[in-house]
Amino acid sequence: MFKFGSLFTRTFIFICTSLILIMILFSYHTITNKEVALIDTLHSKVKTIAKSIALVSSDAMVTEDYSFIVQHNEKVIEDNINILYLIVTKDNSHTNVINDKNGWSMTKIIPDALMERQRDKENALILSSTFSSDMYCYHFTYPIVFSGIEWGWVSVGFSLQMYYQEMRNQYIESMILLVSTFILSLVFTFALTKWLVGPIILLKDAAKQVALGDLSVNVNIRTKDELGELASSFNEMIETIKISDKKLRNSNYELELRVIQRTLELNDLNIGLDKRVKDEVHKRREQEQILIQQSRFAAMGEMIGNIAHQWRQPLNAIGLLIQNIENAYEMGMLDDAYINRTVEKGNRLTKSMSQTVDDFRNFFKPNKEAIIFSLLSAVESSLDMIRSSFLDNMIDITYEVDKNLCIKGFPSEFSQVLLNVLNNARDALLENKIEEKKIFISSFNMNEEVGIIIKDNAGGIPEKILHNIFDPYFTTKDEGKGTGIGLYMSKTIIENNMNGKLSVENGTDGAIFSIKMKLEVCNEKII
Amino acid sequence: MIKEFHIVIKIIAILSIFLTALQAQEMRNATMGYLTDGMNDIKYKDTRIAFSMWLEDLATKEFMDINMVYYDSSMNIVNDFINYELDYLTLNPIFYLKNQKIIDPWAEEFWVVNKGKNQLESYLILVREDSDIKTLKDLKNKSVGTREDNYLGKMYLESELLQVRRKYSRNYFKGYINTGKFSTAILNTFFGKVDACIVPSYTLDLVSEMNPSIKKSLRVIKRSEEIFFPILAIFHINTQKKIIDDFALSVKGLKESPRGRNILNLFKMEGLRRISKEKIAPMKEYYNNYLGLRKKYVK
Repeated sequence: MFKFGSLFTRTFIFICTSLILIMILFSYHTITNKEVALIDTLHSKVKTIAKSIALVSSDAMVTEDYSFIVQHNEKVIEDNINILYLIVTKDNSHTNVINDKNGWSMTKIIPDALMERQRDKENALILSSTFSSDMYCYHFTYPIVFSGIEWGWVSVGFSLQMYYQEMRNQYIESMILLVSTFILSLVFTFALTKWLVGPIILLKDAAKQVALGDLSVNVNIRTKDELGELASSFNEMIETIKISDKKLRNSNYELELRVIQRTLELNDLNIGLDKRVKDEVHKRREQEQILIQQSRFAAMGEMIGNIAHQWRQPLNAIGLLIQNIENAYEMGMLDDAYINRTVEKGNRLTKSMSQTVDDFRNFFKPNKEAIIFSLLSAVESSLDMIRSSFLDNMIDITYEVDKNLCIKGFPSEFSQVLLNVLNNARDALLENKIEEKKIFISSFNMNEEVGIIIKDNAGGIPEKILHNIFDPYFTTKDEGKGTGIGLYMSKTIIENNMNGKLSVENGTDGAIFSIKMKLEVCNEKII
Repeated sequence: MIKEFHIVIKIIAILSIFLTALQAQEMRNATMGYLTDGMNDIKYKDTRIAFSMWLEDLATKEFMDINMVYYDSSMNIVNDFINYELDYLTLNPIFYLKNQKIIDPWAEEFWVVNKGKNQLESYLILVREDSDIKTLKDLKNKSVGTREDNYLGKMYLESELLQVRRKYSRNYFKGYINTGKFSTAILNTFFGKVDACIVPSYTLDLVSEMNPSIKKSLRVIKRSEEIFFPILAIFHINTQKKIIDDFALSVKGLKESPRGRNILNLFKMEGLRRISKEKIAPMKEYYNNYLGLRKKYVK
């Protein structure tokens, strides 16, 4: 029942604390009133004594009958045990007759605090100690007036022992009252709280049982108040829940059946879907293959263009050679030496053309195994294939590649990558109509890593597409000029097939492509 | 059951009758007399209250039924005593001294009241330390303070003056300044309101207790021998011995209970003690000398 934070506990604490607070306030009020009343009574009593002494002693004061004053004061002190001292002061002589329980004396000097007080008309104060006692006392001064003349003062030191005793008793009574109230309030509050919160706890327990699934509970509260109505509503609610539960169970059963049906249907659908996914994947692969093939064809087209460029000069030479033969025949200069010299020259030209074809054929011949090859040779062989094309377009290609750097991989694929990058650079230079078109190829060797850097001065790649240029089918070229496959294939070749890294960034004048590879030891043959 | 109950009731009734009879048998009657003249230092009201309380104690504890009679005339009380109207009388010693010849034949036992430490007191004639009064002769035309009914003290001063001066003059002093209490007389001397005072020695001790400077400020110019006492109580010769014994027992017990001490306080006395006739004799002798001096010098 007494759980931390529970309604019962909170209600109990609230009522109990309220009762105790009320009693504390009541006790405080009583004590304060009692204190005021006691002081008032004390004041009244002391004032009466002082007045009576002043009245009786006025004659003696005038006639300076100190023996009367002394004896009267003695009598007053004897009759009243609470008087600690009496001081009768004559105004003009400042003679003080001081009586207390131990005797009396005459003096002209009394403590300053008392002296100051004596000068006032009528006053009272509480002194912590006096010349005659260490006890707290109520000091009261009253003037002795006779025939309208002030002859002196009478000061009464009244013991506060009774006052403190009364106050002590009051404190004890208050404490007893508080303790009794506390105990009674505990009992009373417990009963009251139980009466108030009991039905709520019953409802709570019932609700808990319902929450656990037990719908057989029935709250038995027969009061005609809100809680009674709540209990009645609760019971009705349980009945409703029971009906709803039954309906729900039926619905659930039906739903389960439908779920099974749906599951079977889904399984069938899933089997079909799986087949469709496989088909789609297969289609995609085929498309990719086509794309790669297209890329290769494009490259081949490119290469054919290059071959055509390569062949143009020897073909012209061969044409001129044939034309010279005709001229030589007409002019009768066609002798054996001329024939031999021309055949030799023709053979040399056809051999050069054949070499060009071999070079391109090697380029398109896929490597079966990764081999260690020289970076320089890869760069040079690639440049051989495109040099004439680039010269036609007035593109100045320079390179500084260390001949001692070797990497492991597929040389023809690597060359294809270089060609892809160089062709893109060429296209950019042409598209951007750069006057002094330059491409610079360099190598670097750093911490077991080597690579090629290809820089151009085409102005660079726009920042917003810089991260997309390696995506498949991404191209900025006009339709029919680019496939969007070249750089994607290049990245795949370097990073997937040769464990390297192909990246791009913009420099001050243009794009900078970097190919990073692991450094390998070159053998003499390669170099 | 009813029969047994009747037996118990009968036993209780018999016991009650027996106890009542015992009480009735032990009660004794006596009559006491108290002369108020010469007893001004004890308030009449206090005297009545104190006697009332004491007699109540005597009745309950000593089974004495005392009848108290108050007198304001010495002649009446002495007459009643000698006529055995009284078993006991209390009076100022001066009245005994004056009537000693009549009282003594009927007096069985004497008791005196002590107001100081001693059983017998002396009388003092006090003046201020700075006073020019050195001897009794210097008291001429001076005012003397004392209690109004201090008959013994006045007798002592007159006697001493007769001895010194060997003649009597009615207006030798300026006059007696009578006060209600001895202490007032002493304070009046201390504060210079009177030139001298005559008081019993115990009063000076009492007053000085309240202010020791009084003793230092006053000078004794004459001190009597310790032969006086403030109050005298006398048992009649016919009073039952048992009554006197019970009286003595009760007096002895007064100091032992708060109620008894309260009674003593009301009587303003320290106690009441038996005194032998021999101890009274010096006072009687002094008084007789005084009478002789008066006879000789007072004309």
